[in-house]
Amino acid sequence: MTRNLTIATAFMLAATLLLGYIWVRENSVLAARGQRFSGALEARGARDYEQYCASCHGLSGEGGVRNGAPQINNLPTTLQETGRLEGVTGITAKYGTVLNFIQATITSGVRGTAMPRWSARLGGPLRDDQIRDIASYVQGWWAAPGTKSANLSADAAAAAVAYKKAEQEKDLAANPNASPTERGQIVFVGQCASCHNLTDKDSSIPAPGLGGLFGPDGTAAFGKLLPNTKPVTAANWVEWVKKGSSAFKAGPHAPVAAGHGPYNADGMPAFPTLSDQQLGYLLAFLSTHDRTGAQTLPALGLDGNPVPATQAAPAKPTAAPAP
Amino acid sequence: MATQQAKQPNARQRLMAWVAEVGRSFFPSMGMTDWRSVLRGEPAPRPNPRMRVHNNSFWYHIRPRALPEEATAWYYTVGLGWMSFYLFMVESITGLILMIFYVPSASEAYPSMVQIMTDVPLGNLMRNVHRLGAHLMVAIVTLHMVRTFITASYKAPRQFIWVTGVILLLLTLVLSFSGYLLPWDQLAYWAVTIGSSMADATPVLGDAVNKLLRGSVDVGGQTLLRFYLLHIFLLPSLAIALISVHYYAVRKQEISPIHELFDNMPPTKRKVPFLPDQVYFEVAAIAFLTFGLIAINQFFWNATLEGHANAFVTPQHTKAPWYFLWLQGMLKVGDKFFFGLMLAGVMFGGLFLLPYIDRNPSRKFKDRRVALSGLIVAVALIGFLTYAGLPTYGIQETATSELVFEWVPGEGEGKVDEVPFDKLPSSSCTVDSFTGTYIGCDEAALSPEAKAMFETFKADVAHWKELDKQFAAQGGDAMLTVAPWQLDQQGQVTLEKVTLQITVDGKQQAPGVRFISRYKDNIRQ
Repeated sequence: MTRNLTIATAFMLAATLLLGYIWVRENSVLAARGQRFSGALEARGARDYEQYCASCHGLSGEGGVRNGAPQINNLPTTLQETGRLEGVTGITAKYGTVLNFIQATITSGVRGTAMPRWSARLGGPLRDDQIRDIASYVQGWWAAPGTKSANLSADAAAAAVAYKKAEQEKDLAANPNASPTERGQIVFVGQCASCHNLTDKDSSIPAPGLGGLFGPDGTAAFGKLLPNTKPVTAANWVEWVKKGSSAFKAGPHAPVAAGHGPYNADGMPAFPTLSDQQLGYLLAFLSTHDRTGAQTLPALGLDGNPVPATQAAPAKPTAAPAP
Repeated sequence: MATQQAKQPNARQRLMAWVAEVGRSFFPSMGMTDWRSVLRGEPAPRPNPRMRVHNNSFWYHIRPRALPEEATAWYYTVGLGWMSFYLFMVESITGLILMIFYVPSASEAYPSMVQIMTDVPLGNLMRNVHRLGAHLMVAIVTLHMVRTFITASYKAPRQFIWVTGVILLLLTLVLSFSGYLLPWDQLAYWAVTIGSSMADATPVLGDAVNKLLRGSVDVGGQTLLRFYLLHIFLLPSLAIALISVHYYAVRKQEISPIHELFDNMPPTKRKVPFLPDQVYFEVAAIAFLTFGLIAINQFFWNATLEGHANAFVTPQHTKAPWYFLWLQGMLKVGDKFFFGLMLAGVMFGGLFLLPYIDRNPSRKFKDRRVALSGLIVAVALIGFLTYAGLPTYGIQETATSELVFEWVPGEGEGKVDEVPFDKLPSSSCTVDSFTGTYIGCDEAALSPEAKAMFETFKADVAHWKELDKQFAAQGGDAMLTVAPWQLDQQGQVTLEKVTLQITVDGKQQAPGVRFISRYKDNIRQ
């Protein structure tokens, strides 16, 4: 009986001491465990990023693999430097933090671009927690002020370059015997088709249909002019594609035909990553389309002259890609 | 005057006597006079007979003034029944605390678990104790049943106690299983998906039962809510009611006397007083067990929390909780309906009816050779089925999936995680099992831990080439790459990337990828 009382007292004391020991360390333990969790979640985000995001934004967020996806591995710095954080409509006012902004962008996509709505709430494939993890991984990239290069390890940077090359070659190599026109179609599908179609109708973005761009009457929306009022020539077209609409935001703007637009003045992204070879293929493809989307026109080269027919003639008539 | 014959009670008197009898069975000590005074609205006399049942009966039966000395021999009951109740109380207390922070919705459950583990002081301890307590409770309740069988305590007049006990065993299993889903991680999601798919095997009603259980076709938010309500309300209520009945019946029939087991043991009528002997013993036991639970959870054991439940990704080696592995084993050994449902039904039905099947009145070991051999066979069978339920049994493991599971698993930790983060290679390092060489890094510059890991990898691939002949025949090989990936603002590595590239038949398969955070080595306790 006394023995039981002794045992009871001893173990109650021991349990109290143990709880005291746990309690004293609890704050630091909680912090360490929290770090462990957020680290593990970021690692999960990295894995999801490679599965869902890398095919457009690249293995390390350098952008430009497909669909003209922008560079995203320097967001905290570039958003600050371009002044997107301040102001009444700035990110700080609208979203509070850069992390929230990234999360919101992944969740609801970006209107007028190929960035879809990723959230399962909006019909996409990702749950909220996956989006949060991906966002924290993306925010983990950081660029030194004044530079655009992110804090990648040398291995990650090399892997990203190799990945981008391999992916674009994979697209082009899908048909090794393709003519320039057919290769241009691959470039078009990869870079343009998420916004533009090849008829005289606007797409749902809305973006003008590109049918007849290099034909006798030009496009249905802008006629013989580019949106920056320059006449449609191979050189002007290359400038427009490489610089995007932001470069010509100040105007003047070409008049839009009735029944088309209005278009977002920032809508056309810049495609500085497209090589001259890719632009040549793209031009050969684009210039063959008339306003109905049929390939009835001669293919043009970057010098503005028709590409020799033997080289340009498509192996078989290709239908316009679905908008 | 002739002797008056005793009057036969008439119908009315007989009815009133029956009513009084029924009333007494619910409220002992309340006779017709007392009921009449209740109905007339008269004040109760002192001492109040209406309260007597509450004052005396229930608590009296759970905690009697004295226990038979024979029942207190530690080697007889081993206190397993008492321990089950102790664990039930531990589960109730920790469960109530966890309920404060837990949110039973598909989108909030997992974040609230993370909050409990990283934001609530002692929250992780509560969760650990709750989880370990649940495992222990299943084990102890089962052992309690085995003990009862070995000592033949289920025989007349204690058949009813056995039946309530079997129901309590079922309740314990279902309580534990319903709690399994609540963390809403991959482990929970897939274990419950497997478990509840058993219901599919029910003839005719299978689909309906499954939908009733899950609330939808698949395990989802509705299932979580249903399991939550089962776990915190319905099942505990039933358990409390049945534990009371079980206890009441045990006290009523007394614990089966130990002397009946042996020829040469004289019976004793001696009793051990509840206070102080029994109380002191129980307080000592509570103190010891509580300390043990806290210490185990602080130093030796940690409940895992895997990734968020994902209906689209089935983790490798999904398995049911350990106490249902025998069911999973049955499904592997035979057909879902006959083995999964019929055999399990027969087994539990047999358990229920055991006191009525085993009519042998003797409790002596020498008279129960058949029953005790049956126990050994049953334990061996359950043991084998549990083994058969393990992921490794009866399933042709392929080198490709096993290598992925061991080195870049979707859930849990791979073998690369065993190396401390700062011992991982400081620049990209690849090992090719085909040539056995290190690519892109200096073998000598690697830390011993990383070197050992890469050597283990080579040995692993060689091992799987032996086990999986097809893999070897197709010239299967694998490359493991560990590379620093993301850096922080000071240039320190925050994420390492592990890539497993398997080549079969000259074709590279889609690489298995896993990232490792620099905080992975942070204390878990």
